[in-house]
Amino acid sequence: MNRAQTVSSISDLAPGAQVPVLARTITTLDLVKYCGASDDYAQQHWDHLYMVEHGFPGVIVHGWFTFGVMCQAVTNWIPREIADVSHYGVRYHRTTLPGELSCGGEITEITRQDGKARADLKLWARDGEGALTTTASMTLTFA
Amino acid sequence: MNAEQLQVYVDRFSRERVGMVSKPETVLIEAGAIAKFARSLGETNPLYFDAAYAKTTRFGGIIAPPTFPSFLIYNVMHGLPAVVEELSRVLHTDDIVDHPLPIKAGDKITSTARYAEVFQRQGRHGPMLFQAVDVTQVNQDAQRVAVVRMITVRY
Repeated sequence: MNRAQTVSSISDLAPGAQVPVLARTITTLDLVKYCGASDDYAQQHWDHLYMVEHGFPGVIVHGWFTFGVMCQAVTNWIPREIADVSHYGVRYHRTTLPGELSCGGEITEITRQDGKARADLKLWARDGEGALTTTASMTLTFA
Repeated sequence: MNAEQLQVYVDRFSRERVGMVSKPETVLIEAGAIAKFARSLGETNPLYFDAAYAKTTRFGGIIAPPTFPSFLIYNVMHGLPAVVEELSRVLHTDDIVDHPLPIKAGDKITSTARYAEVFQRQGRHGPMLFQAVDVTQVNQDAQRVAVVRMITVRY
């Protein structure tokens, strides 16, 4: 894996530091695989006719899948080996259709309390049209 | 449905649904399930796949990706009522998660869902009904590994 941009210590980080943008394509096959792997069989993610009947253009990406990719943007940069993802709050602003997805964000605050260092982040995800689909806050607790 | 009609549901669900608790469900977390979940997300960190590598880290073994608590909630959530016949469109709006401990391969995680809240808010499509469920996940040592608040909207 590409670890070129990996942070090795909290001392490499400061508020305003940017999460390297992670961009990828999500296909309908990826959604089916995610349904199986996550044990989430909600119809919105695999049943095209059901979605059309309910007024949507087709199946939509699991919110948890989008956020899973947002997490990867962070943990590819600040690896799990040095920090736990101890809290997150995610808001899904609009539905995401299969296609392009890009994720990024920045560090908003670094705190040290009770011998623990924490970093707070704000994250975003955009679809292929550039529309903001998802935002999140996240706290990393350093080992 | 207008706001007044929707409020009838909010009031009824406040009485009938808030506080309902699902049957707990215990799942043994297998390394293969973690690897499959991680692969489906496109993860490449060997912490999720390679036991020999994971053993050399501070975790001492394979851990699950940060969104893995979602793996365990589908079944327990469906143990609670959520359906509103007249509102057929459902979307997921928020996940708020405290995740004090990583989930490890070999953990036995018990999940319990609680119907936490119902409210209405004006949205893009008129008045919309929101329902919040809290899923608490505890490991074999009675340590809390995650509390997931999942909010869905119906309209």
